[in-house]
Amino acid sequence: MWRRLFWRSTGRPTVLPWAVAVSVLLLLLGPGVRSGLSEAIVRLVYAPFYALHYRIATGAQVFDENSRLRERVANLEVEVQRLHEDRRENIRLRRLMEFAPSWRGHAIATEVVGPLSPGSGTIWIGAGSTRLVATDLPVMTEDGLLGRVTQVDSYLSRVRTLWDPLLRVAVYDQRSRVSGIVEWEKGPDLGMNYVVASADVLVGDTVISSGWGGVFPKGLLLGTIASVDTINVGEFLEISVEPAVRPDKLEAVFVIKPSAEDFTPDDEGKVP
Amino acid sequence: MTYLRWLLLAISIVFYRVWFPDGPPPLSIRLDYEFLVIALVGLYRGPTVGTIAGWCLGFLGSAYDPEVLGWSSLLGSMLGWSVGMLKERLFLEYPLSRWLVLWGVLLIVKSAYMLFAVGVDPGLWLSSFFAGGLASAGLTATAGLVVSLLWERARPRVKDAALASMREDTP
Repeated sequence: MWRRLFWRSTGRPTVLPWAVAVSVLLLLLGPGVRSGLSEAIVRLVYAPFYALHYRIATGAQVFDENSRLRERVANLEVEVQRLHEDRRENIRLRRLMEFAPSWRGHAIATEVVGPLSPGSGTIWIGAGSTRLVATDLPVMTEDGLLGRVTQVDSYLSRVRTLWDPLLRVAVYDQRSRVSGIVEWEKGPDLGMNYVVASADVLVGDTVISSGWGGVFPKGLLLGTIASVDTINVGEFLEISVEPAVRPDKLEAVFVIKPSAEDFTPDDEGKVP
Repeated sequence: MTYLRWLLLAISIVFYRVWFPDGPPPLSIRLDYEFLVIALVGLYRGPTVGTIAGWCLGFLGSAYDPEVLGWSSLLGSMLGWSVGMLKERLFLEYPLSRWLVLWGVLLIVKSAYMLFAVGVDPGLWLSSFFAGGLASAGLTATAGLVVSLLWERARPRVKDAALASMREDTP
């Protein structure tokens, strides 16, 4: 009977009883044997697929993490740029705090919105009549005198700077009290004109506004004497003044509203 | 079926097991991929090949779990054999009849598998049966029906080949 169950009359095996028998045999094996058999199959067959699965799963995580980190880096880059800008602003504000005002009026702080360009000695600033800016008011930076307002709109004003040939400033040599007129002709430096040949002017002397023109209050810093031509001396000296304000670093400026006292010649042009 | 196809089938079962492991007891609704493959082999290759494939694929599919080692082989061989036998004896050209046969056989096999997986606990087995067994068998049967219809549509001569194979297997 058992033979007929597992073998056909043709001699070929009947598959199902064999399969059932082997399965039952497997089930009857002890737990240790079954565990060993299972472990062997897992090592041989499943292990590469588990490794692949792990790699793909972790690869997907790495991809996600990479995307998140890229996004974070981009945000941090923006943050770093912002912090750099804040740092520069902080330095500028520190310098402003240390900046001793040389006039008795008050100042309107604003920014340059239209910078100085080659061929033009004027700039545009972001304050106009709405902030009580008026024509002919002096404009400064924390380094010194920059120019004066020549045109006022509601929210913008045009400033004629020291590098405009039409601007002239009455000045003193702060040490020797020698007076002259500062105006620009060419190049980065300014010229101090109408100083007689015998005047006591030395390189390195500080040049300040004298207040005589009625536009610029007395005592505003313009720059220092860069050179004095003592060879080709005629009636007047040829004096070059290095401006205190750098034309390529114009950012925050102040429109000055001086009081009447700023123009009075009370103490020989000393800074108040 | 070439050796490459058998190899791909085996790899696909291992892959499925690795990717979608099921924790005992099987309460959730899931596609029983290895049962699906065994049923399709039985459907197209007859009871003898179905039995051998069922045993081998069942063994391979449960090899990672020593508790069910042997039991899945037994159920797999029964599944392959029964689908092959029913295919020979019943007219399964209508989708509904084919689906019903697949569902019935898969339900029996799935129920037997769950009975073993829950440690022959009748209460847990009943809850597993209603919570996941019925629907899982239905899902697997539907997938089997769709795959078989697509397979026959893609390769019209597969029916003739299957019938010829069955004639060879018939004693």
